[in-house]
Amino acid sequence: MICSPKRWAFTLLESLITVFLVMLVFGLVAELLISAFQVTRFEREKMQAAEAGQLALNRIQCEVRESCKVEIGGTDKELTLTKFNARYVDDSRLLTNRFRYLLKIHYYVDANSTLIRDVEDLFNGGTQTHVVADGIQGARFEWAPDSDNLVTTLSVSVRGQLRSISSEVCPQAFIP
Amino acid sequence: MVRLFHTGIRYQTLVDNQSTAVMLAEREMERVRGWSRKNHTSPPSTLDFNNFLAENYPGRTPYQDSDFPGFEVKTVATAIKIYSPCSLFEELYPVSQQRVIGSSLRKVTVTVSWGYDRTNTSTRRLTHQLTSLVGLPTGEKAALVDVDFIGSTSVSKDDIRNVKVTATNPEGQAMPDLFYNYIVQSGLGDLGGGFGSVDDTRDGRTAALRNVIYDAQTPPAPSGYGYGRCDLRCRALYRGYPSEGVEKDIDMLP
Repeated sequence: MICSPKRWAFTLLESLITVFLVMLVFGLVAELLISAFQVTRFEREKMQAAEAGQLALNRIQCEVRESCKVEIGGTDKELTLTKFNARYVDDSRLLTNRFRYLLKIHYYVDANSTLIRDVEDLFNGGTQTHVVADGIQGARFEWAPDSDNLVTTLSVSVRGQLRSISSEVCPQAFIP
Repeated sequence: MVRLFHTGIRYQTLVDNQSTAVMLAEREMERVRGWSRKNHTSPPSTLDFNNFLAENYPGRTPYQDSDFPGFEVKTVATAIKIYSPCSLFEELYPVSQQRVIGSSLRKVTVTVSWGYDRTNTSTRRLTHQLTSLVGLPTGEKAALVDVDFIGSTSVSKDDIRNVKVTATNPEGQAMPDLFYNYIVQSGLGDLGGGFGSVDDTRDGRTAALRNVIYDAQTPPAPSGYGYGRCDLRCRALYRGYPSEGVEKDIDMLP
């Protein structure tokens, strides 16, 4: 009778223990990965919401700087800016035409949590509506008591939690 | 792998903190602008822009932001000069002849510092710096220009009188950055008919009136004298509007 040489192998019990240990290690690593990805996803959502709000704030800031009149209305929830229409910059150099070509800009948050910018042409008539940012839960405009700067605060929703971002800008308006 | 994720999260925190620092710096810069606009706009200016560096502008005393503990905000304002129309043209001239604007704006640097740089063993704090220029806020009123003769207003033949010109805002605060042009205007009547020549610097801030009339040659040579009385008008442009001062009844002696 010819016997094959003796070969080492796991018994059933050893195999089960090995599989169990490998699964345990994989489970720990997977848990670690899932936690890390959750943190990353949360941070990304937070950053995306903040970026959308920040873009809206930057746009408002730029427009406030170039406005000749800044008004807050609607119990601090609406901002109205009056500025010169750049399309007629040559004609408005004449002193008599100085305040002829004006635009009235209106910022507010509508019922769909969208920050809206209405542009009313006071010379030609007509109003255009632009969407500035989505997912804005609220806007608040107020004057800083120390500097008379315009403080704009936007509320954005991050995974059901409201977060606010704000900016302060020094208006160059010369019409009170 | 744990180290990899740990490093990733650490850098995420660093980026978050840097964003916060940028936001705080921009906000503080706007506060300095707003403070200046509120206090220096003329009228009714309550502070003199010329004393900006000595005043208690926002952030001059470093403070910890109450909304973001651990972030320290500090503002430093320094003097700076610019050239009119630009440094490219003006730096071709000797320093004494350059048209310089040195008092109407300030260089403001906001520094936000937080935490410590853990990439090396030093104790250097992490910082973000934002620098911008803050200009003198202007009002609707024109500047007041005053022309004064140094010495007697009777000028002998070939004699020279230095002229001192100053500009102020409605609050009487000095506006030393204006540029001036001069016109000699002959007087009227029997005592009029006087004339002279003005020798001024490129910025017009220093000038002298001489009792002489030059010819049209280059270089000009004296060709005669304008006996009688004349006025010296000094004109500057401020916010696009002319502001003028006059020294009247200058007597050009024969």
